[in-house]
Amino acid sequence: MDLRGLVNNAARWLSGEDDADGMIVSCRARLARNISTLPFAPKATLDDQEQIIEQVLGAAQQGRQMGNAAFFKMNTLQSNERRLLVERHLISPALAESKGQRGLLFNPDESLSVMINEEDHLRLQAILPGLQPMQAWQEVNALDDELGGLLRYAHSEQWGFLTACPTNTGTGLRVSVLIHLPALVVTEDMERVMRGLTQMTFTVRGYHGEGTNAVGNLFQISNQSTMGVPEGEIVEKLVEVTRQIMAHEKEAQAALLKEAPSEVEDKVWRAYGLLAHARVLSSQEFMNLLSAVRLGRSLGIIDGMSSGFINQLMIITQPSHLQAEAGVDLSPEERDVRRAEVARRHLAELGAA
Amino acid sequence: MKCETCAKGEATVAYTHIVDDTKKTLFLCEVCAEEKNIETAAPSEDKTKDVPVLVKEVKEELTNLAGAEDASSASCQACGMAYDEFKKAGRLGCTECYGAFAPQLERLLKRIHGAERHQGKGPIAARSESPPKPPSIDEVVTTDTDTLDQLRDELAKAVSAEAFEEAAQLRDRIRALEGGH
Ligand SMILES: [Zn+2]
Ligand SMILES: [Zn+2]
Repeated sequence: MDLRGLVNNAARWLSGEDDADGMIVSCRARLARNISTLPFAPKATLDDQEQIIEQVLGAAQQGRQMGNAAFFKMNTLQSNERRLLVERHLISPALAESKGQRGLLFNPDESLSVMINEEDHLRLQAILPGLQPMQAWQEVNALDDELGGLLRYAHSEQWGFLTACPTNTGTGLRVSVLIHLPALVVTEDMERVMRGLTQMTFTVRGYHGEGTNAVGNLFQISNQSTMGVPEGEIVEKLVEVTRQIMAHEKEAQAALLKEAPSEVEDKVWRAYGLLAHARVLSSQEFMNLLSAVRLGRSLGIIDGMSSGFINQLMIITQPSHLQAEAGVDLSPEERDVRRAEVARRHLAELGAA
Repeated sequence: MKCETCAKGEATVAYTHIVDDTKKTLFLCEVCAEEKNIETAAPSEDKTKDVPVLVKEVKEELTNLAGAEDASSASCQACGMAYDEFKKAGRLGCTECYGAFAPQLERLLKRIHGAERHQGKGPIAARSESPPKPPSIDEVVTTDTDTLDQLRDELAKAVSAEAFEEAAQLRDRIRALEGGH
């Protein structure tokens, strides 16, 4: 399989399904696991790493869920190919940058994946569209049952699954949603909402674009501790917290629309106009315009545009996607031109359809 | 909202940690969050690392513990990880490190997670072939006949059986005896 083919692959998590009024992009559940008889990452030799890859691949091949999975060794990929996998949320930036024997297994719709030899021997992930973290947990749990039946995981009665970093010990579960909160950002109510939220030991953070500023009014909410609460309850709490935040966002959106309907409508259509006609778009500007369009869709100002379309556009305009599609090295300035081209082409196709 | 650490950057990360059983929330900018090694949400074009929460906290806690319990000489027999090394990296070297550093980890895990015991799923494979339980502390020779060597033997067994609770208790007793000499 050629990695460049991934650029236009319709990953399941981008489909826009269950998007909760356009507010939730995606959700994921990740499990950290280690093989008890082999050293953890800090002490693993290249030989150990090879053995770990072999064992994980052997287990995956015996199971059903990863039967059609693609496998890549990181050291056989170009750095842009690894960045492409990062942009598709298949690997972490740490895995993309690390040396040694590291691998990635993922199924054709990219919903299930296993990073091998990241911080832990295995990082199993299920990533799905919209607000369905319980489903994501169940899918990753089923994969974990399958692999865990064949691999001997590091585990203790008292502390649960043993991980390289004590912050993941216990369930090894990190579950998160990617949420769009434009009105809370505008009305500067994020602080109040975040203060309430963190009472429940969840972390909220801005979604990165290029550089260090949070862009596009996208936030990730995830659980902070991994020990002492059963997996199902962690997921239920995340959903509860997410619904609270969504209610705040809805209120804020309604208030904005009531206060300044023309300004809101104008902002949405201006953003649409720029996306449809601009010739140069930086990543940050693009993400902010896309946020306004996403809000326009949530408010019913724009119809005929799906969440899936917006999500897909958000991914294919990221730097390594643009680069892979171009097939040649692009400077940041050239990328900004390509980004505008891609946005223009997709909006034109949408208009024509 | 401005970052509560540097008061310059825009706060985009809400960060809760537990200090003496009470929760504290900090609002941080990307740069300060990075410094605390809080897990990144998504890819960025810069060299942002996808590392777990609280790593810096872990290191600080480990430093405190080292002072309090003189753990700096401990090391893991299985992988050779020295306590100092763990303290620096915040990462353990193997399954058995959890036994070797059990007393320190017990406090650390409680502090990170606000819990002392795992609840939830267990391993599928290990369920059918779990290692035999080592003798409990009370069955191990006690009182006058206690020797450091015996206790160290028991500790090694407890560690290899992944019985970390026992290991922790044994380690405490070894310490007590060592202190008395
Ligand atoms: Zn700061
Ligand atoms: Zn070790």
